[in-house]
Amino acid sequence: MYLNDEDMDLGIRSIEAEESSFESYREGASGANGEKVGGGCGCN
Amino acid sequence: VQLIILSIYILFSCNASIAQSQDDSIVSHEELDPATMNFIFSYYEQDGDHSPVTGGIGDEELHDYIFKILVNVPLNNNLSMSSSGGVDLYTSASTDNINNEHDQLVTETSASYIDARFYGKMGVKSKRNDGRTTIGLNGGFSKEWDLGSLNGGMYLAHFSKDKNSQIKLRAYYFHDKWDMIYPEELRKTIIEPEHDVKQLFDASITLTQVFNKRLKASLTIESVYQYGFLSTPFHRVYFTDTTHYIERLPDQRFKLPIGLYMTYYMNDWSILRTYYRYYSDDFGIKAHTFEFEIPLKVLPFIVVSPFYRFHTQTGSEYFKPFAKHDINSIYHSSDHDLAPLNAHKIGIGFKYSPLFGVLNKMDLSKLTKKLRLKKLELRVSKYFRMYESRLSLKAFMATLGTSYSIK
Repeated sequence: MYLNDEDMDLGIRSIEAEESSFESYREGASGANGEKVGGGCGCN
Repeated sequence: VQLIILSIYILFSCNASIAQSQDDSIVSHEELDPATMNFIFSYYEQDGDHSPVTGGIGDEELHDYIFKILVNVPLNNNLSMSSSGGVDLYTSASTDNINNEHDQLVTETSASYIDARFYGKMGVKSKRNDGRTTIGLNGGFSKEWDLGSLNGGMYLAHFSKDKNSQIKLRAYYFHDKWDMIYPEELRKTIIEPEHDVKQLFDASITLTQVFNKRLKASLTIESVYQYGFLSTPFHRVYFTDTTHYIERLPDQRFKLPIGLYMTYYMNDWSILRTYYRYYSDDFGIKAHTFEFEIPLKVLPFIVVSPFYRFHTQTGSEYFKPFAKHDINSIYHSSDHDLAPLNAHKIGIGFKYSPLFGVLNKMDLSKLTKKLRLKKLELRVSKYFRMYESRLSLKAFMATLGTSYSIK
């Protein structure tokens, strides 16, 4: 309970990693959330 | 920004003494933790009318199907290996316009074709016997139709004695090589750029603090340096005199994002998750991102999580919309990802994670299965990007995740 609850974990969870990836392509800002900040094209 | 950093430093200096086990904390295990395997399937679609391939106007419709697997295998109590890999299969209306529409037979990609991106990553994590220090190494690759990427990185994480504070240092390197594909009508006149490679160096520091039994937070300060061909070779830019050429951006970019996560255990049925990021780079973009999510335990083992995200940014000094660039400008882009914009995301997540696994008897002595489905998750979201108070791009994403443990 409390801090051991999975939803208390800080940072991006695997279920939301792809959302974060698309946001980094569709916006000019990225980083500081534990996810990658580069690599790949994302140029569609 | 200085005020934020100072405030956080003061907060982190108040070291509450609450011993809690956390993800990266170590206790002495007599039995090895089980291996875990996660399968992720995502569907993403977007539609808009500001494609950079056609100079800031035109179709941006995209459909993407993502399959991903993540495996973590403990080798002993202090050493574990992880690997992940996946494939994105997508159709894109915008890249179809690299060539003229009547030239479909020789096109590199097309909305009517399915393009693929493959990627993989491997890592190893080692913990010292006192459980307070972790060192991780990893490397990976990705390959898509116009670009190949290699990356490697490492991190070092260290807990305080009471394990309520942690400092994590992380460094990454990416090496991307373009296959220089230009818009068809410009191929004979193009002046080859100096680089066909872009490199990225990333370093970050994360401070995590448990303040009390209900509250914890982390602060990440990251610095990113990019060098090389940072434009996209098939992005067009139209000038005020009606001529056009490819996008051109500086060959260096420095980014500084600062992120603050906070989670608060409100009561036995709800948690508050929040995130704020400040971002600045030398392309002239400054951005603020806010996100909050409230996981609600609506039934035993079932959590429903509504969430909302807001992002606002100033535009890059190198961005102008369709046909607004001066022909004499050195750098020019009509990529609306670099435009001044506001974006809203709203969605909901569902999680089912029974104590003894999905469809298992609630009797520990009868748990003989080697492979157990531990958790089912579904997350859906809608995304709206606004430019000059108009909806310029909308997107939908759904992700299904399953988590297994292997004895």
